[in-house]
Amino acid sequence: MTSLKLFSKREMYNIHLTSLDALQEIGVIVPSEEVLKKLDEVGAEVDYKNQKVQIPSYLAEESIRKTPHRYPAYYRDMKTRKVLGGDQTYFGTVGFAANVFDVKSKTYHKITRQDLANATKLADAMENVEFYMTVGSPTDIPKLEFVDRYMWMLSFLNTKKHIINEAMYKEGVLDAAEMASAIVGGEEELRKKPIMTVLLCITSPFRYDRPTLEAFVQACKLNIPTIVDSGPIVGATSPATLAGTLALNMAELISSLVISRAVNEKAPIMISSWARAIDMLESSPVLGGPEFALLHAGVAQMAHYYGIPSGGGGVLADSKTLDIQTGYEKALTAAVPALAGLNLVCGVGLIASENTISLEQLVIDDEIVSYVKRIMRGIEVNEETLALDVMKRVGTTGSYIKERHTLNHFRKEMWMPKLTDRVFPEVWVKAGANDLWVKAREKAEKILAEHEVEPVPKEIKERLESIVKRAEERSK
Amino acid sequence: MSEEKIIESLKNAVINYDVEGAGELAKKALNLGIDPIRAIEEGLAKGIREVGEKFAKKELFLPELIMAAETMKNCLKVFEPELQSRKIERKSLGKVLIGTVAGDIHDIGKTIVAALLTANGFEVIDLGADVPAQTFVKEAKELRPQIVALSALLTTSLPQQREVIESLRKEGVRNDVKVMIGGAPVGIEWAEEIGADGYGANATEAVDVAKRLTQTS
Repeated sequence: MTSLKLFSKREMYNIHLTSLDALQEIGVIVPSEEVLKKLDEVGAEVDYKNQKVQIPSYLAEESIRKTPHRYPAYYRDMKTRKVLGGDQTYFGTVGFAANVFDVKSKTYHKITRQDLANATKLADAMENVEFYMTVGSPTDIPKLEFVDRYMWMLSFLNTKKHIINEAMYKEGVLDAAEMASAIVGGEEELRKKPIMTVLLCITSPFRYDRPTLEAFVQACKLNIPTIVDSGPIVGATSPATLAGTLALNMAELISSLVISRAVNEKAPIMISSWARAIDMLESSPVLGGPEFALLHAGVAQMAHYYGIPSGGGGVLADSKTLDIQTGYEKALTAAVPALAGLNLVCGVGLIASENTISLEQLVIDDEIVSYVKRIMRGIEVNEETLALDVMKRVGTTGSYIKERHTLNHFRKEMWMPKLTDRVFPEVWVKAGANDLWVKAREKAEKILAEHEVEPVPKEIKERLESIVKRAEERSK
Repeated sequence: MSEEKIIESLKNAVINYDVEGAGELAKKALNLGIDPIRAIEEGLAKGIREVGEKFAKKELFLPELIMAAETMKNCLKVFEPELQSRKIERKSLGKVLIGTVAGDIHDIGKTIVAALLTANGFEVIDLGADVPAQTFVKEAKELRPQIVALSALLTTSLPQQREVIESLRKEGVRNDVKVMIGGAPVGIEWAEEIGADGYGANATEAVDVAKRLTQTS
């Protein structure tokens, strides 16, 4: 396994101490009486009036120690199991998109339920994408209060992969858990084999908002895995220095471990970073830049230092179309965090920072991920792979292409691309001199027409629909 | 083993790239008195065609194609003396004499083209690399191929392609064969300049060219 390390032990220790000092001296804003009380009980210094919690170092370190090193996430078939944590790296889609990009006409349109269903189905067919995070909030739903229910339902119906979705309210978590329980056959089953994860966002610097916090607590109580995101913006909501941003990022994430341990010591949790820069001319977020790649490698290394599961953004691009910029931004923000051992790298399918989903790019990203996975396997060195015997046999005149050794090893040693163009120039010209997206579009269309998602039984589907309807009626 | 089983095994040997065991199997076929033409056509050729089709559909990769062709070659080595002694020729799309020209030791491109031609039903005689013009002429006279295929990777060895064509002409066999050329520095202009009959920009094109040349001859 290839592994990239940015920091020495001493540097990690200094980052760690800075995070601890920040938690102890600055603290975090926790707007929930219930949580404040719980944190008070476990030894935090609580200012009830200002809803501020200062976390002593011993409590922070104890919470890190009590966090599970790894935990299983299941697909809805209840058989496929992906363990998050340790040395394993998985890839996923991610969900903040408001738009869909049509590469042929170079136009954007608002994302609809149909778009969401299509993107989910496409992600279901991608062999290198293990986790499905709902890629966007459909805009053809009248009220924001229950849009998350649609997102859960459309995700459950259109992919069998493990689903991650952002929770904005406690009620949304309860409804989502009810859906998942209906699928797996009960709350107890869901506890044993979680097929869903709830994602929550901390607001930098050092704040939780009330609805998010309540949703977080609810998920922990239900023992549903949570992913807690912190996405400070370098020079805007965190220091302009990457080390300072990383220390703040980690401090916020450690605070989520403290909260979740205080609520339910057994609850599985993953820390996740979306630390990013801001373009100092355009004032736009920078997700495809080198700072993003570096910060995520840093978070991965810190998480390994702590022995806790880590995730975050990657395979991302700020480019607005499917061009060379998208290619280099995606490749590097995929490879660097993955090589540093981030356990879950999410970003597949997204372009224009985190604004837009592209079906063609989703297919291309699957290829980029496959490429990165080959790099991560590294070069295996042993007697068989060093191949001196074969060298002796071929000598100075023969050719290796006729050797059984070649036949035995080439499939494993060489990356076998599914989409990448490698034909001879004259063949490329004859085939229409197309850019990669043309092939990606054909592939996406073919998958949407032919791929069959493992179906959810009819009565369960109706159950999910009734949960969505109930939420819709309650909000009237 | 019955005759049918042996023929089936020959086919499977090619499909499973049993380079090492295939020769023995061919010997067994001869010892049992199986018609070598039948063994080739219904066994080996069927196998290699299947591999070739899968390669064209991108279901199999280069080493697999080459190894299948090698397996077939090992069997043919056993069958060919028998064919010669009985004075019978095997049926094929055509006989191709192939080699990399003198001064050029690059073997791979030529080997790939040879394997692909074999997989497409041609009978291929591979002279190897660094082959002198006189060897091409001698073999052409003796084996009477429909096509002589000349590979060159180096710009410096390109003139050797012209040399082979000239030699074929001087020795009076130029009109009996079609000459096709290939290799990285080769282009259609060069092919026209030296009076080659065909040029393939890559291995797949080379097969198309060979098919076209044998149809018109």
